[in-house]
Amino acid sequence: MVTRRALLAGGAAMLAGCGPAKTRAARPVDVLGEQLRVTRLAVAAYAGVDAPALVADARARAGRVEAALRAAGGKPGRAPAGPSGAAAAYAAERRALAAHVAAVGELRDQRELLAGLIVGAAQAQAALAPLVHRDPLASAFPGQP
Amino acid sequence: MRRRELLLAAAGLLALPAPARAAGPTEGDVLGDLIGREQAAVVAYGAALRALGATAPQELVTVHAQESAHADALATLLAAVGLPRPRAPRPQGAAAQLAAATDLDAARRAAVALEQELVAAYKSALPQLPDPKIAMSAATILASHAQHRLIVSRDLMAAG
Repeated sequence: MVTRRALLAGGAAMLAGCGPAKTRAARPVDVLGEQLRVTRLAVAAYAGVDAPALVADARARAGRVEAALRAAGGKPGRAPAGPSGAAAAYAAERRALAAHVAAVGELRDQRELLAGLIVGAAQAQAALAPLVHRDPLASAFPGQP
Repeated sequence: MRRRELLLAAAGLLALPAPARAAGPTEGDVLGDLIGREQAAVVAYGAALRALGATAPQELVTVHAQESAHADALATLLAAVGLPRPRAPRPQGAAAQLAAATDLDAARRAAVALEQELVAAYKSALPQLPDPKIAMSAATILASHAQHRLIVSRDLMAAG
């Protein structure tokens, strides 16, 4: 017999596209540190891309994550370097979006911050899609792991 | 203390009202609100597409299909918490404007307003969903509505 709990876990896992829940609780500073890393990679990827509004938004997102990380007692590391250009920016925003969605499952008390990051990364991904010949509305569930 | 007094005291404890339910909506309440919004959006986009006929742009066709996928996904989550899929509510606000749109410009303007409402609803809902996997599913739908808002806004501006 399928229990209500099993249905819940199965249905949600199907939608979230991931397996069983992690049993070890993530440390907030680690999760926030990862959000900062992926957002900074997106910022770096815009080098050479003529998209000032997207760059400004990505920088603003990085600033919000950095502030949250400091408030949680963490210390931001050096900004990572990575590939740049339109294709790299599209890929970086896509990875950042997936990381933010995953973090929603790990940090309940940072959901407000994460919701703003998700909106920013999702919009950036859609805005960059035509530059790399991708469909901006390719998925009904963008960021699905 | 005599046995009778002890019994009365115990009975008094049992008769105390249970702690008041924590304030705020349940997970079912939050999911119920979200699916109602998605169902209204499906009805509204469907009506607009019928009114526009062959002039309907692909982006609105895609958005309509994705709203339907969101409603189906939320129905699965509702079923998992023991709640049935509700009947689609009558579109209100921006959804009603979209349902009544008879030209492309009006449809796009109403669609942008509707997507803005949906983004706000999901941003507000995320902190209220205790189950991590349900919250992650809602987060992907939030991302989808943010993309809808951007693309329909862009096409509205491009059309001048």
